[in-house]
Amino acid sequence: MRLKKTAILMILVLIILFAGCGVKEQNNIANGREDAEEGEFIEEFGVAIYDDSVSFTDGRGEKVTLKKNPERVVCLFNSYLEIWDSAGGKVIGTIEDSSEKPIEGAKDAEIVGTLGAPSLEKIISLEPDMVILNANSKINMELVPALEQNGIDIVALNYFVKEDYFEIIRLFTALTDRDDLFNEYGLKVKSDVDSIIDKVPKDKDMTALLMVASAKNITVRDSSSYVGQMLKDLNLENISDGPVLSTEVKVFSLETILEKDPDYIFVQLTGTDQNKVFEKLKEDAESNPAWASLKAVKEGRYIFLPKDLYMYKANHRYAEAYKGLGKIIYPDIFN
Amino acid sequence: MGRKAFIIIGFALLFILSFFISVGNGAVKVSPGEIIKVIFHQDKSMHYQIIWNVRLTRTIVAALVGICLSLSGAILQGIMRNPLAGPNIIGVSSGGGLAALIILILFPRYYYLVPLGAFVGALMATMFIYGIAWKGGVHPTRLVLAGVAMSALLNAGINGLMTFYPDRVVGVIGFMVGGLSATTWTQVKTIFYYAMGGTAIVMLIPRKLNILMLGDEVAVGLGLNVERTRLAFIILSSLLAGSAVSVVGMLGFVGLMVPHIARLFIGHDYKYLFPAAVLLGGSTVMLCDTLARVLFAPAEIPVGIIMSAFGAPFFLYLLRKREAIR
Repeated sequence: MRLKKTAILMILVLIILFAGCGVKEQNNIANGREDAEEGEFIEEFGVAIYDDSVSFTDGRGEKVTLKKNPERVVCLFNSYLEIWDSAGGKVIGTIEDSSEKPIEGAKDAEIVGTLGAPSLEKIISLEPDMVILNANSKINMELVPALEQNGIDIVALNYFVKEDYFEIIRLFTALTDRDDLFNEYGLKVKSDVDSIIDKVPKDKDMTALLMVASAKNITVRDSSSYVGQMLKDLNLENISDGPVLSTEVKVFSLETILEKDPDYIFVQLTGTDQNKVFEKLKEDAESNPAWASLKAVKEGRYIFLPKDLYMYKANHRYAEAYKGLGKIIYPDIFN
Repeated sequence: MGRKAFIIIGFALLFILSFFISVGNGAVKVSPGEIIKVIFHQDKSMHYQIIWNVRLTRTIVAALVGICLSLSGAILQGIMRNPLAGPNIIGVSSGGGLAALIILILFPRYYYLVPLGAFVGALMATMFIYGIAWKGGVHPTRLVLAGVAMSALLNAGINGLMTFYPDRVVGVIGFMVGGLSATTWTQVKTIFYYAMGGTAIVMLIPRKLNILMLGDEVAVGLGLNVERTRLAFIILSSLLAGSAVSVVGMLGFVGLMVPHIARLFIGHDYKYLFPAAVLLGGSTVMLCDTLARVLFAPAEIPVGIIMSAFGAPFFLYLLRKREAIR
């Protein structure tokens, strides 16, 4: 009996070992191209650029190597499409554009579904050699295994803050082999943003709250978010920063807002058709005695941010986005 | 005084205690002395704003929502003679939810119409379910099944909207899980009359529900117009739950669970069950909302999550401990 148990155990161990080897072997195959690429390369913003390929760590944490100049590209996320377009890239397929920011270079591309429901069949039928998608989207990531099985290269990216933008523009311009566009939309934007941040006075202790326009809850974003980072760079302390529940969006205590009474309250929009929402939300705030007692509301520093720069990612207009906030916070310096 | 009266007094004390716990705790520490001071001398200070315009409104809305939902559940479980009946079963959550989502996602500029829309959606779903279940009369089982099917259909609409407009979902989640994060005196006013009116009505007519509980034939034999009474109760419970959903979002679990907990303590007689459900419903939402505010302060978690996380195990414990419910 004991012998039988030992035998079964050994077989199980062997199966696990072999299975492990299988995975390892597969990884080797996946990385094979990279090994073959050993040679001269330059590395910028985390992207290693070889003569005819580009290597980077993608949004899944996997090291990926891609051939330059992909010809048939499908993009499933419009923030990336804009960057791909400014990097001189062309697409054959994209999702329905709900972003109010139509991309001229993509207007002839096939529509392969919507942000929430891209069609795998449609994508595969276009026979792309590369699909750009959002690593932070569950719906996008569910497509990955099927796309990979069809031999399609995957560019799964995360884009939360400006460093991500510079990495993406570096990656895309390396793929399209357009260093001129990297200088224009990458390096120049970075130096413009840096020079704005340099002008920010460091001796002022001002606080801010960054809210998401919502009909129901008081939802806020901290300094790890897109606009949150800009406010932090502009030397505003975000009152919702803290170790507790550091999620992308969190419901925040109105009591704490009243207690900390921030100097600025910025409101970010979450969807289209929201100019009317602005007016109504503002009216609501002013008619609610608790909100109306806040310094920022009383003194006109309850600010609704325009969506083209602060709801959608600013991308190559980052400097404009920083300057816009700079003018509000430090009018003497930036006007 | 009988045992049941003692239990009701116990629930009343719990209600009062819950009220003080809810007003006394929050993300910002305010001492009891300070609380009393700001309530009596309305000095417009920061603590006054916190207690009077944030905590008090929130506590009152929580209590009223709890009252409305648990009364609605108690009524529905009675008239359908089905322990699984609750505001969800007559389409209140899904009907109200779909209406609210249509506004929030497709017509966000009219977001201020969400309470009204949710209320109308809830009532329409109830009426539709009632209409479908009607076949020379409404059999409770048919009503429950029609409700389940209708809710599935409405939920498909909700999920469809969320799939096609994922970029607009951020502002919507608050409604889906139910929350009290931004309550105002306006909301207190919205729900106050429903809660008080509903409570007054059901307190006056527990006998009719007791008769309905005996089964349709017996009820007819006792001279009750079964269909009309049942319809009146369904409308009443839809109004109660609809008003709650319109204010806090989809918070259906209270309506299912609280009446059962009350029943486990006090039995099936609606004369006692109604006051018990009112007091326990209010206490439950007040206490759960206090936890939702305090546990991860200054971040908040939706009260619906707390309610299910703490309420469901407690309910299961009672279920094992006490005699089986009907």
